[in-house]
Amino acid sequence: MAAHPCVVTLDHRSKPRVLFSGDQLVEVDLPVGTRVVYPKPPMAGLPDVDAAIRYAVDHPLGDDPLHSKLKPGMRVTIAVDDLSMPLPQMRTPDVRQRIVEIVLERLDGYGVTDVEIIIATAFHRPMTAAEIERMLGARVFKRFWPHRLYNHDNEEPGGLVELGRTPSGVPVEINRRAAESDLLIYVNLTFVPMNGGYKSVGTGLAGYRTIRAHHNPSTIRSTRSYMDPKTSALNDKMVEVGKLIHEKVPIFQIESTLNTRMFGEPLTFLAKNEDELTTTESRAMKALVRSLAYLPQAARQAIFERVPAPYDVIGVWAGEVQAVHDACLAVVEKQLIVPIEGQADIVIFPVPYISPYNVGAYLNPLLLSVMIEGYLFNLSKGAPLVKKGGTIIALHPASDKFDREQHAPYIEFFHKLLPQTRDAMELHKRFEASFAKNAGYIQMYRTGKGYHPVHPFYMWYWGENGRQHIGRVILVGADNEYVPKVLGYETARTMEDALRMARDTAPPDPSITALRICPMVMTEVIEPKQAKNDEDAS
Amino acid sequence: MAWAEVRDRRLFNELLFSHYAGMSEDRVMVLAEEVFDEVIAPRIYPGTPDLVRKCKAAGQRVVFITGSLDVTMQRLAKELGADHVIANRLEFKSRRATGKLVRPVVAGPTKARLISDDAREHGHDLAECFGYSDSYSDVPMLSVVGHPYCVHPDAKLARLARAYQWPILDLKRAARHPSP
Repeated sequence: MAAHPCVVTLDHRSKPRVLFSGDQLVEVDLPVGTRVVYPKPPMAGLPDVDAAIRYAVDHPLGDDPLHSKLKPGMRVTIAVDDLSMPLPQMRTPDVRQRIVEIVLERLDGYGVTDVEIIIATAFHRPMTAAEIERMLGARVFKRFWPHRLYNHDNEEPGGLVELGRTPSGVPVEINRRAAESDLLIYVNLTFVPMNGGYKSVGTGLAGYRTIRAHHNPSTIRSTRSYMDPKTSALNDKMVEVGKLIHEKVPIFQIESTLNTRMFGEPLTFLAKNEDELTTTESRAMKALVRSLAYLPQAARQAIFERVPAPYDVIGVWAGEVQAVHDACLAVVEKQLIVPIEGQADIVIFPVPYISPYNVGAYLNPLLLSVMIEGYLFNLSKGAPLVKKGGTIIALHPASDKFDREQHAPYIEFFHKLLPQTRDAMELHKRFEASFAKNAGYIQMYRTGKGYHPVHPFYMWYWGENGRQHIGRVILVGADNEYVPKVLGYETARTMEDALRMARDTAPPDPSITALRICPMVMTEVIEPKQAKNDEDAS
Repeated sequence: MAWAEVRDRRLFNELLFSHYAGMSEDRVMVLAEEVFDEVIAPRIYPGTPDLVRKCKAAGQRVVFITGSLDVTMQRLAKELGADHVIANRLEFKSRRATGKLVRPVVAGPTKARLISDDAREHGHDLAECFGYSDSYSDVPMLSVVGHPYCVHPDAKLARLARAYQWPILDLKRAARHPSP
């Protein structure tokens, strides 16, 4: 099988690769024969996004047009995905603003006045007023904030209502306002295949009793990849929950997705193959690598965070939840998935500065583990990129640093609980219930900028299928030994040292693959035999 | 008094309550009611009742420990649903306040000892207990519980909270979005 153009095999002429290590970039020499997987070039954006949104709501998939569902006097709730996606934030206007404005046009036109907009945060931190205004635009913000536009609050007394139990016995409780609406319109931004579909309403607006039924270690252990809905037990459970909600409350889903244009000028070179950089780009890359090495951490983070991404909208669909999600997923996968022949013995993950859970904060040690054993490990359709028992080499400084406002419960989880045990089942059984009731942390979640106290548990569970599969994790560039030790990682001073260590437990002449993230990329491993059959057939 | 407030809470309390010397017991009770209604009640942060409610919902025994007088704090405890109050008590002789406090004076390190005693009496493991305070003078107390929290901390306590990564709470708001 001819390699996909985004899979580059290094030879003796190849330049060093430039990889993220937190908010720094490092140049590393990788061995000849290493395969480097690059993100696909951005697909073309929709020429007229507003027209596409209007078309979608008027020509929905598997459902009647939005206008046919509207009548004066009805109660409508619009739920909107929070700022955990996309990463980094997109340039304004955010696609969610465009969708909400067009939906409001329709509601206004049909005399629907009882409208509230809820940011579907689940257990994420509440978005600030400024963040909501940026995401939904000044017009919507001024009209609805704060009484009719607000964050979902999982701990509001009387704020949740139980709708029933799924066939497998999961109690389904969701936001009362949403549950008591005549129509729930969910505005979704599907950035990776794990987003969207029934997960949106089944998690974003759900209560603890519902979320804990699918956000638990055993579900994640049974999930091959949660970025691949077909092999995801997590997805199966969320669909069950979502379907029950849909039986009780009519849902009109609107999903959109973006391309991979994460970097605009003057940083477009960051998405390119190092061997294809022009002389000017090559110099700019070197200058950026050196500058970042000298800047203080806060300045480095600001450089990346304050430059919004020029993502283009590449699709908008509306209608019945699953039909919409299937259509959206097909495009998401087309944009993200790079086929690659065979798994690798050693996989290199550069860990960037961002994750869905640290917008405006440092990527703390617990989130580092989520990135390595959770998100990056799961960025595959079908089989994982690394072989069972293989080694992950990750690049990140792993500083013992937490944002005290956003991640206060993470601090206790990391420093008090993880040194006692890394066993997710044990953490779940011994500690989750008491954290879930922690009055101080709940106060920080409800009125401050804090994640809910159970969120650090979910973050640890998020890496559970990775931990069951991966043999070793070797961290390159750690600025201390404590954090890697708590996480169960080995450390190496340089990539060369890490590769030497990894070879000790790998078969002779091991296959090495590096995932060159960011922008976003996913792999689909094609087994060599299958690849040959495909080639013969073609 | 100002110096004592910053440097020695025990001395501060003793100086403050010496003004009650000669006051009759029933007058103290009336004054305490007025202090609660006019000074304390309007200043209860909106998030405080929520916090106490959540603690109770988690099955915790809520104890108020304070350098203020028991007569005002009993009202507060009743209002918020606390289970017990450890507070300073005025000494009375012939139903008149002497201006002295009954020993031990509740302040500083003594608070740590008093909550340790209280926890032991009720069979609680201090490592599982939660402590909330706004004042640097309460660091000894916060240091002996397993879960210390700072609430609108003074500057010195805020510095310490940052150093030890103790959570800092803001109780000025009760909910995420105000009712219309």
